[in-house]
Amino acid sequence: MDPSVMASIGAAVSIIASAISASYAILSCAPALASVTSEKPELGSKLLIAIILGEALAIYGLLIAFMIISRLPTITTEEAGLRALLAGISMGGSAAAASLGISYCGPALMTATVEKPESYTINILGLVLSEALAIYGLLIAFMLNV
Amino acid sequence: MGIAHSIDVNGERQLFDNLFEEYAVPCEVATQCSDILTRVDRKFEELEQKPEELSDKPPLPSKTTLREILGEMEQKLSEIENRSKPFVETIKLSSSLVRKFDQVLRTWKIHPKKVVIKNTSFSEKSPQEMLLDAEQKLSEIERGFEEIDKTATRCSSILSRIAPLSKSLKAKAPEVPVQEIPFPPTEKFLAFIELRLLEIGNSLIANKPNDSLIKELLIIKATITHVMEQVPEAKADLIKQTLELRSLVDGVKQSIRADPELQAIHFDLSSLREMAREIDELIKVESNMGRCATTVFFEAWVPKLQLEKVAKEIKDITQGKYIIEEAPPSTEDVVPTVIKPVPRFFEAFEKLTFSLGYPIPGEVNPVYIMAITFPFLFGIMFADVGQGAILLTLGIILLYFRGKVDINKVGDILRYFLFAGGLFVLCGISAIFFGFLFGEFFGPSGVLHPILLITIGPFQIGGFDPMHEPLSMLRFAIFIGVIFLSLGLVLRVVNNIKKHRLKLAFISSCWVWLLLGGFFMWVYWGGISNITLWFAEGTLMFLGLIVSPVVLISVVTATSGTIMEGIDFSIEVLIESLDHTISFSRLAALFLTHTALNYMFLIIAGVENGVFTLQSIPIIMVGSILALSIEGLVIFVHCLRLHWVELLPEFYSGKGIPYKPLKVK
Repeated sequence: MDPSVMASIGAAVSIIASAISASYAILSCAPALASVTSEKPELGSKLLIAIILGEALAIYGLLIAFMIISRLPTITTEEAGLRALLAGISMGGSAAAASLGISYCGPALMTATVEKPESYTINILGLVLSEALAIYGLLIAFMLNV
Repeated sequence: MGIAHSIDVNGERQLFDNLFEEYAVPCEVATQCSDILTRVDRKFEELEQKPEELSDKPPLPSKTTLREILGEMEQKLSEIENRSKPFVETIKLSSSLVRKFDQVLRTWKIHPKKVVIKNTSFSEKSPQEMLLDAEQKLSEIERGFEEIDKTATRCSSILSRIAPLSKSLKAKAPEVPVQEIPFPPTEKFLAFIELRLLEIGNSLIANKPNDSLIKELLIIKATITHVMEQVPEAKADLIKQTLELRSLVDGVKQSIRADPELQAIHFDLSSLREMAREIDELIKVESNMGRCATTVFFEAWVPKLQLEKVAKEIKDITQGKYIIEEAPPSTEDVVPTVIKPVPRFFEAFEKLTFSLGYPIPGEVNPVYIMAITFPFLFGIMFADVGQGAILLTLGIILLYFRGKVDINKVGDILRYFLFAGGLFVLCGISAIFFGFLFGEFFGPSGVLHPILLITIGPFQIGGFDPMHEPLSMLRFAIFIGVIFLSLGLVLRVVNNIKKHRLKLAFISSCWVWLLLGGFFMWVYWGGISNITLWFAEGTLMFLGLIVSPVVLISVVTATSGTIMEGIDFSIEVLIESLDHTISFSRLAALFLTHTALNYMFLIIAGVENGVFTLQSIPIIMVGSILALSIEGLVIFVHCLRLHWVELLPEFYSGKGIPYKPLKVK
């Protein structure tokens, strides 16, 4: 396959998978947040973190896609094209994994925090650790693409 | 098994009487207090006003017992009630009048809100008289309206009677003069017309039509039609008058509201309400105290520094008849923490820290630490001279308004922003600093060149373009991570020493040694891939930096009584050090995300080699707004996460309870 086509597919995979992941994370956290804030509006700012972390996944995907596209003229060899493709796949895949974690842990965190606000600091660990998965993917994608 | 004895109390009734009275006091006082509250609330309702939260609380009357204070308040309240009597009547009258107006207008099927006529011509009369006048006028208007309605129906019936007559006459309609009659026509006139019509009808049946009859009929028809034509106009006129009157009444109501006397009453009522609430609070506190006829017993937390003052106050109040037992907290007690207020500049950091939890006594309060580390991390991720300057300006504007605006009277989101003024300023300064290090001005535009601050081993602090050397940026991020984790561990040592847990402090300091030592080895020998060199050439270094702290940790853990705690701690630190250090790589990732976003807009705008053309400025503005809002929010959350998950839990428990002293003025 043409290297630049491979790289373009990588960029597309990166942004599409990340956007779907972000959307899935947000669509499971936002309704939970809505129901929580209808009971206790003061918790809203504290729990907004779940939605913002979900949204960040799309930004990571955008970043990798952008990096690949900006390097497109220099991708001439088969190897460089393959690396760009793999960078996109690793970003998209890890974003999907992070999204699964966030979409499970986010609502659980919210419902738990309504009952016992002091459990927030422990329960947020699940959320941030699953979000860290995307960061790992982002780093590897970066290294692949350099 | 027990046997119930019946005791005859009646004989000793005299003895108990006083006691009952004493017990009855708090109950009575409570009802009196709530009574005052309800009366105040009712007064507010009658005056159609909303109770206001006063910013500075009024002092309670200087009496010794609650009963006397409440008595005085009651007296004041009845005085206010007397003062407000005329207002209550006027307001009642005016609102009932407004209701009446609305009702009348509704029966005429006109929405009162639809037409707003401004009429502010006030006569010299008193509001009461004006209202009475308006009421009278309204009834007049209503009567007039009814009359017009009646006339209209009557006229239309007359017209319907004329129609067959004129048909039977087959008369052509020559021009006839319209007789001007006053509107609305009198009862007499209409009756006359009806009578005349009857006569005309009768004579038509009897005789043949003649010209004079036809003419008369036509005149009647024209006149009545003319009257009918006048009806809508007259109605509209009346409606206009009504609306004017209504707005007049509204104006009177407004003027009553603006009356300084009424405002004074409002203020007095509000302050009374505050006082009653305060007393309510006091009663609640008192109900927690054990008490009998002459003695009150209570326990309370008192800060050590204020112990003498409190004791003196109690001595003054009780005139020396008191016993104070001073006891240090036992190990089972949860001791509340006295939290020192921070300057307004740092209140955002206080809120962010205490969202995680309050410190327990003797712990380092991390508010000021956070005030340094938070902007530091934010600046690394948001490094940009231009956008940092925007953030700084925004922060200064917010700080300026923070002093001017009453914080309780603004919306939720604006309030958060006002709190965050200091945070914006510090984050802006930090972003500008790191922007110079990495050469960012609205993205990697080429205006600035990266400035190398210092090189430590393989770590460059600044002086490279992270877009093209992401690995250098990653190394930089890891370096910052190690520094932050060491800072956390050092603070943990401090906390352990403060809590006199020397062994744990020692273990923690060994971990700092191990962490920094391992890191140094890693750097010195060029990464983990050269691990053979660690043992071959750097044996001594390995022994000193890695083996000795590990041995010390093991020995101390094994010999101490709290062995499980030590092991727990060690495992925790081992995992955390690895995991959290890697987690700091998000600094690099988010920096690159931020730069890439800006770079994208630079390419779209066509900025090359640091030349901003005029057309590029709107696009750069859009990019900056996006970066400041979305990216700023994401970076803020990640900063928070780095603090709440990585840095603060290293040394901060967040399990304290804030000390909330009982405040009575």
